[in-house]
Amino acid sequence: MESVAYDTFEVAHRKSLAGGYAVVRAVRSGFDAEPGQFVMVRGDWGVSPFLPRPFSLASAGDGEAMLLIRVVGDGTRRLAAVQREDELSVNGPLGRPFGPVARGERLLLVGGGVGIAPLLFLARRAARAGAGAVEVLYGGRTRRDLPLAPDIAAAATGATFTTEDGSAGERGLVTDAAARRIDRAAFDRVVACGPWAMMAAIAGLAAAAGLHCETSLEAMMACGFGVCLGCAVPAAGGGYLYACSDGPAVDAGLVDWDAGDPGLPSAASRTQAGPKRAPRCAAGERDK
Amino acid sequence: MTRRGIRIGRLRLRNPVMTASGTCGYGVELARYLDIATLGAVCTKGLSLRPRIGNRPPRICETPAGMLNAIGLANIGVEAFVRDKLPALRAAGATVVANVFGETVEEFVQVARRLAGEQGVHALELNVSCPNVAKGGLAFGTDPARLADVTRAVRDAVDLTVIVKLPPETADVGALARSAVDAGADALSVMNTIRGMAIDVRTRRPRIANVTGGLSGPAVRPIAVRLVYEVSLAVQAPVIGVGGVARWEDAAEMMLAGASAVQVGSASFANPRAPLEVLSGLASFCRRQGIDYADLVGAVRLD
Repeated sequence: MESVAYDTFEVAHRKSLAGGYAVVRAVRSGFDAEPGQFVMVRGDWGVSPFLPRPFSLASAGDGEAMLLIRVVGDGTRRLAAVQREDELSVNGPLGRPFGPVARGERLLLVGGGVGIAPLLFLARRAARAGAGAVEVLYGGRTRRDLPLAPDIAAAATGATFTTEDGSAGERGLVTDAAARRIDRAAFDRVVACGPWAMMAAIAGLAAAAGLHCETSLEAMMACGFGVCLGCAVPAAGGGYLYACSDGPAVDAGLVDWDAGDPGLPSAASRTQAGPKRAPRCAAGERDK
Repeated sequence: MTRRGIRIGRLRLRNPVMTASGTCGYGVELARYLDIATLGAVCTKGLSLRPRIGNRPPRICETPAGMLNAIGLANIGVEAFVRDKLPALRAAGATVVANVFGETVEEFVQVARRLAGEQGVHALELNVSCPNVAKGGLAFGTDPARLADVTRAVRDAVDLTVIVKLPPETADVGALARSAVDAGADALSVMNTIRGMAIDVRTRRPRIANVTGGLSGPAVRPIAVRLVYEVSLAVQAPVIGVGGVARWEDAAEMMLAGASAVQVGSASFANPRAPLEVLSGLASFCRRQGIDYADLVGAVRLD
């Protein structure tokens, strides 16, 4: 936490991958982080895109940060095209990391899409910490959506890949594979990172099996360091967690998974706020 | 040289660069990135009598050269601020402007009174212009009579410097400003965010759950500069320019339009050191020109 900094990093390496992915390594002397932490990254873009982009660290240490980028808009398009020696503004490391790995601890890591990034970092550090097992389930829509598959295979004690179209690994969803593997006798902790519905399903499976489950929260965020209050995620029992400062890594039980993906305006909110109504305030209403 | 300080009511700022409410948390979050005592002031997130959980997500989205937000004034409440945040601000030596929000005049007064009793709160900024709440907010800031009521009630209740933060969406901002000053406001912050809307064309859904949100960032700066200009012509009270200030040139522009001080807002999201960089750039500019900060205020050339 105290080592957080806003600083300039230099791009050391960028590898573009099929499917609109890129892996970028950027360096700044002394940089280190814990698995689960993230950075806010921006290039010299003038005033547009205006905001930095959040990335869970796919690896960090020895003055280097590794980012997995999927092109989804203007900012990520620019970041996926950086050249060696380009400068990036990086704020971090930010947020709450995954819980420490105990010697002999058996981990089941479940990643969907770019959600695999912090799990690669965790798998590598877990191996170093003497984990008893680090099994990874890694799912994507097609084989091109498994850009870190070779790294995962190298870092894990066991890896299962799933694709929705069957173009690599098992055909199906990563949650199907997880349903077969989540077992209290085989693991001490489940860690999930990916789309909301995936994490909700894993959280449910782990709870049913009586297994401790950590998830990595994702939400639209402007600042990443707890001041914009944009990255609200519905909390179990009411109110909100902030992905950047309460998380990203949180115990799955702290999240209201039934509330629906906070990244999507719900149909309910759409119908309740007609064009003539004053802007709504959920807080004001719930406070009463 | 630039050492006269900036007078805002009874408050004397060491320099004209502050943070804007809602963009630096309670001020302490920024202390990890810069010495907050070096800024003119830090302005807190809007504080209400009771904690508010805020609006449902998504609360923000990016727009060209800016962003929309509908946070809904989520905050820990004035008691928790005084107990958990203020001691660290005091210890850091920061000049603190507490942003005050209420759904009623009485709530504004209660929050103001609670803050006025605490050492380390140097001024109050009344948020009568939040576009994202159902009660309070714009309902006060767009009606000159109600604006005067809430301003006078707080003015009569506390000895602190009272700053009123005006909304941009009004036919006659000068009349609004006069109304606040006549009711006892020491200064005016100009402006809050402008209501905007963005739609995802694939899902056909608004990109924030509140449907509309407040637009901020460099995209709105020309509007803020114009409003600062109009308000500074309408009233003698100092004006604090807010809206899209990201670089020192933006601060200088605000001051030439009539602002005695500026607030750096959403620029801090991208760069937490932005307020400090704006300040050091502005200080260098004044040094090079051989002028005081005050020499910039309202010095736009219209000849």
